[in-house]
Amino acid sequence: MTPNFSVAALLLAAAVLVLLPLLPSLVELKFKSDIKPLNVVQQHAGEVGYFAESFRAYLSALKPALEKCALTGTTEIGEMPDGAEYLVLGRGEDALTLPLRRPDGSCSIFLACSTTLLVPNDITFTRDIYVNGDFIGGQGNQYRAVLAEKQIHLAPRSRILRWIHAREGLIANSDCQLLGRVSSDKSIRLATKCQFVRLNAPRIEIGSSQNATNPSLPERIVNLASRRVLHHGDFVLGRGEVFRGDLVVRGKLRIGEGARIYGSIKSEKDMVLETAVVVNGSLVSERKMRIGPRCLLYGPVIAERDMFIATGVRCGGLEHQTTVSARRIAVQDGAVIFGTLWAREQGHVVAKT
Amino acid sequence: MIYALYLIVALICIYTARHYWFTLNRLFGFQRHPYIDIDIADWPPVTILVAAHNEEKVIANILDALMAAKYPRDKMLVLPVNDRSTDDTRRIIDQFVERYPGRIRAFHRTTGKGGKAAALKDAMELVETEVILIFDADYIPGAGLVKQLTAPFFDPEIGGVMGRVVPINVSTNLLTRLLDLERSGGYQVDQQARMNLRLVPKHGGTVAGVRRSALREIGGWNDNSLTEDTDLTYRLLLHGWKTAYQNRSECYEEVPETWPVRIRQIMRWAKGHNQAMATYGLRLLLGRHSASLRERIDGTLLLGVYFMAPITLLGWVLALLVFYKGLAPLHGILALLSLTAYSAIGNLAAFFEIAAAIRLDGNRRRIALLPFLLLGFAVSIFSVSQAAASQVWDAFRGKEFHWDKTERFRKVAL
Repeated sequence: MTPNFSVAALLLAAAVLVLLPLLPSLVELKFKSDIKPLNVVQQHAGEVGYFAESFRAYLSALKPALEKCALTGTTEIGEMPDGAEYLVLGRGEDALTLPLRRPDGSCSIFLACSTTLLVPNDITFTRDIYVNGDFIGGQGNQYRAVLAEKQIHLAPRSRILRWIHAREGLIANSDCQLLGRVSSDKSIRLATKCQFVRLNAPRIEIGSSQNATNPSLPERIVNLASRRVLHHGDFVLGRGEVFRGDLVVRGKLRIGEGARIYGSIKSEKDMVLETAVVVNGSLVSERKMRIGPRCLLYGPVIAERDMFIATGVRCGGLEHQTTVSARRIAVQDGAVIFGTLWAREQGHVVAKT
Repeated sequence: MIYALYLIVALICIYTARHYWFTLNRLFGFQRHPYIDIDIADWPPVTILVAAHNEEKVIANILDALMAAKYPRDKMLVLPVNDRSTDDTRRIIDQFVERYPGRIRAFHRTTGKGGKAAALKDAMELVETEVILIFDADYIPGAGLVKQLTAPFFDPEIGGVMGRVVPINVSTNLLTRLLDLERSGGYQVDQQARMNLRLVPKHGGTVAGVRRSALREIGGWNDNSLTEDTDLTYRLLLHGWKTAYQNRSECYEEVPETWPVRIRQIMRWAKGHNQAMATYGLRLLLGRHSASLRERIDGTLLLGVYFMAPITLLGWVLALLVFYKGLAPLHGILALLSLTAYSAIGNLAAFFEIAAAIRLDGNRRRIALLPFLLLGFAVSIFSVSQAAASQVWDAFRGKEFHWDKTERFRKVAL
């Protein structure tokens, strides 16, 4: 082997070793297999009713069958354009007698009903349900998704996996697990021991309706440009005191009974509102927030960790809907939220003590 | 000489640790998105400033996109800031004003100081709302973006808001693909980690917002700054205001498609950053103000990122001198090896961050391009060093800063 050949072989071997790790790069550069821009949602704003609207559009193919079955009171089986098998019921009570449940306890057909639909107990519905009327669920059922053009009544121990939307009121009885998006164009009422993630309705009542009276919120001053006070350390606003402006506290914040704040408040640590506090602006805590009984809040109300909402609390109003959000939320029987109640990890309804 | 080299190695190690800290936090830590859940509220009135200088190729796209925004119509005013354009920008804006009466109001600026900050400063006379959103003309906001960028202002501690920038022209060539990777690392990991760790998320001056009362308190837009966004970030911080980063508030942008344009862009950023470092660096680190210790340290390191390019170059030169002069004892050689190894695989390019970001974004095969970032890194380190050198030279000569607009490449309206 000549010295020149050895040097050339060495250089070649070195070049191969250098280029070898670059081989996947060169392949990707040449064949451009992953060149699409990151998908950015352009068309919608994350509205809670988005799934329901998309589902309505999907249902357009089923409209003739729904109308026909409504007139004749019969049932019809067929396939949607995407191949999904459907069952259209002309009379909703037929669902109680039809053999919907398979041996494993599931129902894997897409159900659509022209009138009020009643479904039996202890079934897992693995496909969506559409009801052009009221929906009355059975106990212990699991639903993937439900859309009702009138009211929805979820029996005790029901479970929602993806979403549920009612054009009118939605009532969830005790021990329901609402793991997906739950929304109504009118109202939602949750019984005790219900678990939830994201609720959205003009009016969300926690517990029995007789506890949920209309809030009498003070006149709103929409002014984000209020005078701002920045306080280092903990801060206590005394009982019955009035604060005008925005308050930013770098420590803990405690607001005494009956105090009133004409502005927004923020604490970088825990925030406690005692009984009957009124806040005209928003509330933000980077840690925990405890809202005492009968507080009136315009919101938005945000806690980055846990939030406790006591009985009689009112967040927002019918004319001023708002968002209440935290990682974990415990809300007591008798609270009312107008707008969105969103627990990132888990929310649950607790009985009044 | 050897001690100077040690100092440089120490600085590089600090930045290395910072990159790893951010990436590990992003991968395994708790992610803060406190305002993204606000989907219903009594939304405040908003003015949206669209900075436009010779933007005939792109201005119609953004105005169309903003007119489709899901925000109460009576509470949103779009204010295109036409800064001395000599192309068709004025005519296109006027057509939109006619088509959407009351929703778009034109601000045609024909004279005055150049630069985005100067134009925005003049436009402020027409702004009456507390919340101001800012977009460059080449951006295409989605329907929900206006709400998402407004939501953080319900927090009275927030003075500025920044969303995430996503390149739309990724497929054009190698440069756009590399910039896509860099943007991914910078936003998906770097900015979000700063938000998570309560450090200093940087205001980017586009896909962004500012509170008018905060802006007034800090003295308005600084038209002497080459990067008004960096300048704004630090003045807000020094006055007790925070900047929130919203990683899920994404918006498409157009990235440079040619290397000369990219080099001019990064040189301007470097000069602006260095300018901010000279103005606010010491005051931020040691001055009397309300920023926390972690904000002071992170803010100072953030100010220094572009200055690390000439420092690293100097480190390379010193390493060679130390070696060939025979000054390096055994531990010196180890230091040299550390410097060489680290400089070769990462440093300013923050490859680990970018790889993590690509994974978080759910992209798979584009990660194969990672080694090509060495090319982008090499171009950046020399361009940024050249910018720093010319900045020092210009300061000696008393020459004023010149603002370079980034060229647009869009062929037709999207």
